[in-house]
Amino acid sequence: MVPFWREMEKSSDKTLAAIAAKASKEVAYHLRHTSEWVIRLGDGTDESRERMVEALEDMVIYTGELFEKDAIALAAVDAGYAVDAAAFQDEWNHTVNTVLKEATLELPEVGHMQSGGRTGRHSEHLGHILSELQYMQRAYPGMSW
Amino acid sequence: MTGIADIKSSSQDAVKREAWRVATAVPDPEIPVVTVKDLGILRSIDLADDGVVVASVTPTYSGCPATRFIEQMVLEALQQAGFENARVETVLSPAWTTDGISDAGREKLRSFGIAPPQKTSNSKRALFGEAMVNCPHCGANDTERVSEFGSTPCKALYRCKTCKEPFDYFKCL
Repeated sequence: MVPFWREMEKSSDKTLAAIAAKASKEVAYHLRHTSEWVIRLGDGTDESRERMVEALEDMVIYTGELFEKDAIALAAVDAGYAVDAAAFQDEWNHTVNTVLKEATLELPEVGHMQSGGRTGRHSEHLGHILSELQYMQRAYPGMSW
Repeated sequence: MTGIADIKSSSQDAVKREAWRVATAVPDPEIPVVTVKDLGILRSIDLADDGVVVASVTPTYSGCPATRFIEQMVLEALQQAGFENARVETVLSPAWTTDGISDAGREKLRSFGIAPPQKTSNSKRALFGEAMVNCPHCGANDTERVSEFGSTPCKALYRCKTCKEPFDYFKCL
């Protein structure tokens, strides 16, 4: 979200503005890097293209949450600490579609977007991720090394 | 009104100088040929109101696993040199950039076999991500990028087409 971090640099909170200035440079790099891969795989072999089409269909439902906001985010926007990510949806669409076009791909149309992460409602996946991440600490309580 | 104030301030300067000398000698844990000062990670040494030495460091790439380790190393070096109550503070602004790597640091990287980052300010090509990277071994500029990531995420893997040696390139930020 290059535009998000770019605007966050203007936050009235000095720490957030400093983090945003750092993040801006890094997300620009990530955007370039991932764009190169999307183009290489989308406009690659039949196999790589097929996998990219499948991946887009699997993942596109998670993009809606990028632009969602909860009460905390709204309060932060009102206080001038944060910016409303929803304002960047058009720019995001434009960037993504430009890359996808070059990759001979298209953003799939979906009826609904996955939601709930910001309010603590997660899908089944999270339990598996947490048990993996917490394995050592749970198997050996109080461990140190 | 000279006298005590002067002595105090000159001794404070001496304390700062000594702490600076100690802190600047701390090597980077990942690339020990360069110091935290060469890399522009150590910003300053100051004395807090209570006379405690405060080292200001700035994080490099977000998510770099060495960040906390570097802070710890600076702190331990200061403590071992007798600055028992020394503190390390993280400074975020201005954000770290590879342009902050000193000329001495760049030369040390090169002789270690790592191509130093382009100076972004004077290289238009770097801006478009197609910087010309010179081989740190033979100096030739006929090189190609093999992978966006090398031995660590902050480096890219290159190959020299002249001397055929692979090498790491410290990416610009």
